[in-house]
Amino acid sequence: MKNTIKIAFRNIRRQKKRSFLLGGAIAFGILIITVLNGFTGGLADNIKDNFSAIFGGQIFISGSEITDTGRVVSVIRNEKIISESIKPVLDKIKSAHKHSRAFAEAIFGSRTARQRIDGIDWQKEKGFAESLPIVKGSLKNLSNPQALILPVSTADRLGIEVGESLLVRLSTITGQKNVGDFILIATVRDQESMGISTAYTSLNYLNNLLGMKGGEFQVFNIYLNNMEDMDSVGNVIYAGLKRRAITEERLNTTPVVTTKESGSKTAEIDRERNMHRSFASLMGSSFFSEKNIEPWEGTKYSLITLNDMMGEVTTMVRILNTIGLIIFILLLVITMVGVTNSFRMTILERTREIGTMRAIGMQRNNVRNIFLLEAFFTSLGGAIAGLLAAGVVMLIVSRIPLGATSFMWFFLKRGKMTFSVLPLNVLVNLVILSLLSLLAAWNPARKASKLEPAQALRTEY
Amino acid sequence: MGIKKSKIVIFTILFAVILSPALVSAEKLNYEQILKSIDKLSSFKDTDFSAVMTMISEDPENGMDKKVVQQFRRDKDDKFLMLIEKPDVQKGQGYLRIGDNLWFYDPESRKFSHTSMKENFSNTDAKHSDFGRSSLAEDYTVTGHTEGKLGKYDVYILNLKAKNNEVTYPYMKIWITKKLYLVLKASDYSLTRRLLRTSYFPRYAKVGNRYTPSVMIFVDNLVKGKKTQISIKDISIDKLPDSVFTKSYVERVNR
Repeated sequence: MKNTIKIAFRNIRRQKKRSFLLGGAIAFGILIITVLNGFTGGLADNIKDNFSAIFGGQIFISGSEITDTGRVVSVIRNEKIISESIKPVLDKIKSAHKHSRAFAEAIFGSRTARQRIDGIDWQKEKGFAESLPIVKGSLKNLSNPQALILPVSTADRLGIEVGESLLVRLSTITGQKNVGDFILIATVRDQESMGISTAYTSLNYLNNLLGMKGGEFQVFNIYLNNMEDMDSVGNVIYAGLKRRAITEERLNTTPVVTTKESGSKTAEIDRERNMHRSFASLMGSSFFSEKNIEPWEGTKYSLITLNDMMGEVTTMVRILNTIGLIIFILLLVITMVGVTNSFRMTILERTREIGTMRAIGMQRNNVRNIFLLEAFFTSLGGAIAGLLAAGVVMLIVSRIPLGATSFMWFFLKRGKMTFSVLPLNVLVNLVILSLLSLLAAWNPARKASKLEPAQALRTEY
Repeated sequence: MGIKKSKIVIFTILFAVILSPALVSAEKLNYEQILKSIDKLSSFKDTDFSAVMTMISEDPENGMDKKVVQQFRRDKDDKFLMLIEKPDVQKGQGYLRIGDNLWFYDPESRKFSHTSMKENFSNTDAKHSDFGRSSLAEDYTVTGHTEGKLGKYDVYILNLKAKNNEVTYPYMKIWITKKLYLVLKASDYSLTRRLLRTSYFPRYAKVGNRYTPSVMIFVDNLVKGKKTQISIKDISIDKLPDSVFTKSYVERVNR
């Protein structure tokens, strides 16, 4: 076997140009598929991280009540039902936070900025406060109920300095206009998430401005120890909520495929409504009055996970990967036709050599193996080169800043593209490549092994 | 004599005790009645209403912006349609109100999206609700009143409080002419009683037996220098086709 390998290697070296071209074609295929896999993997990871940063967690429970006039307001007045529902999966939860949230307008002099503000219970969430990436100011005045922490970009837009006062205009959960006085105590680095950064203030003060009582909240955010548990933990909590209270059906945010025109339209409307509701509840805003809503008593709970929201993204990634794989296989098939032809030529060129080897006692299997190994090593070399080239391409592209205002911001991490290559994907690509290479070389190799030594030695080209 | 005097005192007290709530109630009723009169005077329940509005907004950050908007109203059904004609970049955008629903139509995406009567109209300082019928009596109770002068007009100054927690402005103060009950000025306050917006109605046009402001000025009291002036012309109370207040009409005018 050792000699067979040696001969295969020697043959590759002997025909450098041909080997280089064949390996190059394979390397190009591997480069394309690896970069594409890396891109889609990075895309999915970034979107997931950005969603997590925007909404503050991976599983979200929100509650809604319906008023006498049919307006749906987002509020949870009692956390008992949630506490009981999360008990079975407490060990999988890293942290849980009660937040209120408002989309407000920060006003400083004649400057304004739209800003999302989260109400935090600073006493209970000291760890969260410490984790904030403070740029200017400090958190020592957090006990001041009017203390506000703004993202740097908003503070810059308003032209406000730490220690100065500003106004925040917002709507209560029932839609009344309200204004609060705040003092800027610190600025935080912007989160890399769709350009949406969050400001933070005291939960009780924000509740007061939103027309809610102390202890009430709008969203229960859950961070998990392991993102992989998202679906299973979400299912357990949802089942718990369903047993104890009225619940909104789990939101179906994946694309709807229906054949009938009318069915498709209805499904699309439902899907849009679901999407609207899920985002609205996460953002803490109350829904607009909708007609045809079945009234309910008390709080209706809804649960949504990042994966629920990622339905369309996951589908997009899957489609991109499938397209990539098809292109890869097409490229390989073309390359393999080249490999087959090259090997046919090689056998013609080496007929006398094969005859000699057979004459001195080399078995048919060994002759066949030389060619198969030659094809395998050429592919392997091409694959390694392709992987290295993909690594270099991904490294260079990931260093290019695409800008904070780029429309792709949501798909980026800190304004740059990232790549995430799964070893399994690489392995699958290598297996496909190896099998196709062996398949391409099989016929010529078999023919070479079947050559009669005497006849082969007589052959002259 | 002493008995007589004490009788007079007792009768006076009794009279005051018995009649004072009635007097207060009569007075309160008058002011509530004024709110109803304002609503009646500026609402067009027996006719349709259409006009062309020119809106000039001044914003210290974004500069000046001019819009021309065609307005159609049918107050008896709580319907209105506001179609933006200028600037060209916004041409065809429309706000259609039917009862409790308000939709915004974007001709670029050709889609309707739900919006709220409490939101501002297309980056101006006017609310969508400013373009519908007046509903002061339905939404507010009078909590205080004085009399005074606004410019050359004798006015009642009423303090209002929202009847429920879904009214956009929880507190209001309005200046009304004593003569015709025309609102000349209104101050809108937040839940924390901070002055949010002041509206001025310096000019009115008589349309049939109704009055409608022909000039409205909305001043944002939180953002210095931010205000919107609306001039209204080509007012008509002719009947409008029913089809005007439909989504298909909004789509059709954009073709």
